[in-house]
Amino acid sequence: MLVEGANNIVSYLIVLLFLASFIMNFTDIPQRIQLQRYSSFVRRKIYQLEELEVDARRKAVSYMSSLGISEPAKVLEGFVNNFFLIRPVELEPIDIIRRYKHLIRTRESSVRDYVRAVLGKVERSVQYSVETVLEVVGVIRLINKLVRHYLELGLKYNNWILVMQLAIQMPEIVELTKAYANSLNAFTSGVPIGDSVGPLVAKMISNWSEPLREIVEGTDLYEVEVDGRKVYVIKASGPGSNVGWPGEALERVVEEVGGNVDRIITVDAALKLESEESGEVAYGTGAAIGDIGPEKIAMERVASKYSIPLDAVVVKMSEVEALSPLSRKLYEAAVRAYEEVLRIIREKVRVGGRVVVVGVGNTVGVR
Amino acid sequence: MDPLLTALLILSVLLVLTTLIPWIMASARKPKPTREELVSVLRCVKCGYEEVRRYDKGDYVGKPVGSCPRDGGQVVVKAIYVETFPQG
Repeated sequence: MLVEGANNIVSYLIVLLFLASFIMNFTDIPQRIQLQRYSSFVRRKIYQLEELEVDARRKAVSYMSSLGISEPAKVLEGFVNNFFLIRPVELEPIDIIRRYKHLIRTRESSVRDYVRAVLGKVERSVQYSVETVLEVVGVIRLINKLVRHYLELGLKYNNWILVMQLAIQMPEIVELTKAYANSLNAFTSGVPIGDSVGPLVAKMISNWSEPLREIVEGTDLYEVEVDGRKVYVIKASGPGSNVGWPGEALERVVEEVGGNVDRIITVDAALKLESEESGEVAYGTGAAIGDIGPEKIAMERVASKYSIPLDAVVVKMSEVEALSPLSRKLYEAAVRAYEEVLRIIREKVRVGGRVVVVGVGNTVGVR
Repeated sequence: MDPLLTALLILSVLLVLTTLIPWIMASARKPKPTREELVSVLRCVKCGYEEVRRYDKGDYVGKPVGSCPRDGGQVVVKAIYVETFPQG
């Protein structure tokens, strides 16, 4: 009896296997099932993104209210969907940097005017922080819109590959959005973030002194002496959230001394590879700056015009760490980067020589 | 027992295990709970004396916060960072 029963099961199994094989190989049913699975996963993640956006908006509104802005929600709404930047024509490379610089500055001045109009006369660091808070909420809104766009596009055309790719990327996207949302705490309370290591190192080199003057808008110049070498230190003006114009500032300093500079050292946070350790300090050649182009090229041009060696010292970190409040590990890395800069000055610049140190990055929480 | 049924049973157990193992491993890998606190490092610009204290609202790097207990030099906030402590 048992053998007969087993034979029946075998027959059923064979039919089942045959049917399953047919469905798997000759229909789109598996892909449609996958499409449903992946899209429901993406939807769950979108709820998370929406929560993050609501939270970010709430923080931004409460920060602006605390500064006395009337109707902060309206101010936020007026910002998030506007102030986009259309990239210049790249097909024609002649004067592209000038065009980029012009467009970036025009946008920045529009944002500044918009914030100034609602904020009235306040300290510049507060104005910078409000601008950054609005930008961060704008980025979170954009991420949300893009994720929704690709999901709806994939579902509309049954493009299961698109939805699958989106689903696979969602954990990374949520992580990045969380970092942006968390960075609001740092920007509103004025605490340094991972990206502030460049300005922090610059401040260490300047021995925490007051700046000599503002060399270009939102960028300060310090002058100190290190073991008989004259050191010009450039960093964005703090302690508000600001990156300044380090390229233009460097250009001006070098031109002011007639190109009589022995070395330029740039210090910045750099995105680490997954296999690398956070807080690793490395040095190399070139301009350490994550810029679209105008600031970086200004550094390269002035260095090559006067044949000044251009060094880069970087502190490696993840994108999430770059946007989160500075951790002890990264602070210790900043101290190591500072020692590295001092080593380069002592070993590669003659006594009596001149060197420019540029601390690149967001100077939030660093005067 | 019929070999086919045995094979089916083994297959089912394997399927359940492959579903459960990553979940068990992920829960075993959960990091220990920690507590985070913002701290400010103070430094005398003259003698290099350093002190770490809890972050005060309004602190920023470079902020003058008094004079040095050792030599009376100016003390500034040298750095602000997040310190992580194990919880419990």
